[in-house]
Amino acid sequence: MADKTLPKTDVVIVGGGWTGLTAAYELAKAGQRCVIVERGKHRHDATSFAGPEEHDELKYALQYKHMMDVKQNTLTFRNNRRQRALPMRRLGSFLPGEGLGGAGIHWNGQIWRPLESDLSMRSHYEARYGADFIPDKLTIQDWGVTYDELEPHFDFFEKVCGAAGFAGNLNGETRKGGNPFEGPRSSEYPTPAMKQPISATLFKEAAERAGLNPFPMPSANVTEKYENPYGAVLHACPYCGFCERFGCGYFAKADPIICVYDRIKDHENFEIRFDSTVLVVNKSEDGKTATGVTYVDADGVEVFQPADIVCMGAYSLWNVHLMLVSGLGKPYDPQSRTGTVGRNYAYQTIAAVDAFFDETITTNPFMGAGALGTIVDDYNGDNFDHSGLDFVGGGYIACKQYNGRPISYQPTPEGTPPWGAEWKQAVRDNYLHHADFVIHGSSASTHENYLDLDPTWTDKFGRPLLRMTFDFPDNDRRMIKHVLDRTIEIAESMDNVVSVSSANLAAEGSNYSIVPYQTTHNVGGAVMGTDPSTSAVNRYGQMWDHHNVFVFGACLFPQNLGYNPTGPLMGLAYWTLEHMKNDYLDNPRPLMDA
Amino acid sequence: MTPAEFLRAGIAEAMKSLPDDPEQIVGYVTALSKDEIALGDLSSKLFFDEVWKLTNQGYFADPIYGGNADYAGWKMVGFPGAHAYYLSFIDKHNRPYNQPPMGVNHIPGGDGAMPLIRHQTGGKDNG
Repeated sequence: MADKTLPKTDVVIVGGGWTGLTAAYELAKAGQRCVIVERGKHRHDATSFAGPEEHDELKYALQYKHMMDVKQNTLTFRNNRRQRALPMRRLGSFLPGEGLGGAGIHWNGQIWRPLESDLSMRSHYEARYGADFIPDKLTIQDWGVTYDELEPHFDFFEKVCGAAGFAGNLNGETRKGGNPFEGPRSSEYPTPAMKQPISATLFKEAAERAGLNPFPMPSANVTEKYENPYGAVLHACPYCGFCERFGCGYFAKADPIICVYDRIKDHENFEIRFDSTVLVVNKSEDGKTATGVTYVDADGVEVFQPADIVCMGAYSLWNVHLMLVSGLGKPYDPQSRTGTVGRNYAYQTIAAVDAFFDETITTNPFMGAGALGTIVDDYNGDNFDHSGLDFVGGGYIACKQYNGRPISYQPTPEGTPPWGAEWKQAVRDNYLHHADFVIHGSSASTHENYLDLDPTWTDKFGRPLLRMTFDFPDNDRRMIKHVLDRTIEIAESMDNVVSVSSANLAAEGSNYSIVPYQTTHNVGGAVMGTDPSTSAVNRYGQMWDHHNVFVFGACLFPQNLGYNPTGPLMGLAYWTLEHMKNDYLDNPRPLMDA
Repeated sequence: MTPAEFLRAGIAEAMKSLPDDPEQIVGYVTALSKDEIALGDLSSKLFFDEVWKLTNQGYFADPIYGGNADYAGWKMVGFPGAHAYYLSFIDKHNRPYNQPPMGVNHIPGGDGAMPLIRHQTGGKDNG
């Protein structure tokens, strides 16, 4: 029982990041009184992220001062059901955010769309390669929504961000210099593509010689002064190299504070409460609807906030955790393979390549940005023929130049000892003469990778911690090896390259580890779809079991794309909000029959 | 065991076996890194990894933390530091960026030399 109960609001929103703030913006403008409950603090680009103080690698990139504090919030982890999970005591593999703007503050700004075939992954593969092509172990499925349905929403989010790029498919017309595999865009990118450094330029030339289709990475690091549809003004990215893991004091990386929050914060229908952690989503007596949320405020007071609608806008993992501790939906049980909440947790499959130039090529790696690089998408999704291959999915190859921050950016050729005088000499010799590649691979869902509540460990409020059970599926190990081998071939063919080395984080024989950084792309666990036995929410993001609970974020993905999730998940957010505004608010009910 | 407790215990254990002869230090550290030194109940490799990580941070972090003296770490690789604005340089390929490093505490308009580190010597900061 809460210490106090507040007057009812129309909408209560969990979390003040990209999805929560956007839901508040759109619903407040539609006449709904919105209250956001955010566990972290207020902060702002102008006062919290300005250089040079912000440009402190140790504090922000390595001590994670903008991110979630694992002493306050964490999860437990194991590779498989035979192991006992243990709490994550340090951030590593992924870096969730905390505070106003959430992880949208320290993101890279890589802004993608899914391929048309990605959204109907199971039916697409079965139609092209036969009903038996997808192994039984994999639980990949269709999203229940199509590219054409989502296109206006991807387009709008790119306009909110002032995204920089070059359309490869403009209204069905393929254009050289863009991504020839992407679905049709209804408009060109709002700002021109980023300028490319020499490393990415040499990669582009080598990829073109190989008959591939390189293009500049789509970027929310904008390239000229730009005003978004909400009236926010962004400025040209200065390629400062303090981007991902940092906030942007230049107002050049689109983020939820400057792009959304500033434009709604004074609206009469908008309110946000900081330092307030939602403990539970409360349910009605018949269990069919939510009645609001109970949170602990900054003074430790337990507050019940009644609401007609609950929007789940926390980070994907914490949305699933909150659903599980609140008894929303049916928890997934891997033994019986029933239930949906926690089902189909997936990640991202990552490998890296380093190419070392002779001394005539000077790369100046400290001139960088979180979404600076050149992409080859020929081996992503089903952009290449999988017949004869023993896997589904793929990944993009990026020759990237994010930063040259010297504590972490220490390229050394294969065979260099990991420390000592020889290591030091190699760092000195190669720092300015190195190209950096990532293979950013998809992640197939399986029966055995899932999220549930830990039976042993609890948080400071006495709730069970979220437990993650994950290892790389064999499918993805084969996939990443295939794309890694192609990347090495391209890197070796680049002009002035004297040696190439690689690292495969999903290599055969090694288990997924939460220690080395890979990517903050935890997806699934509350997936969308058209079948309530395999999805927690319907194709509109509405919970099957509780029609006034709407779920946002990458937890909706049935498996992970070879792309970064922010563009796709924000397309879904605008899709959900459109259906809430146009079809739900005046007539609250399940929008699909179960 | 928290990371701090682990480090303190590791240092106490390592001091017992650390050789006096500087010539033997590299061999000793190599053995530490290969988990070949007995450090009580602790893994000497884990201990080495923690110490290496902190040493690396001291060498390459901004001088406000007291290491990277006279920008030695940044000069070694050619990293220009915290005052970062490269809009007009990014696509000028193959040109060395010959600017002296400048840290967070750099004095704008100064000569590029490293400013004095203000050591904290108690409650009062004397600049």
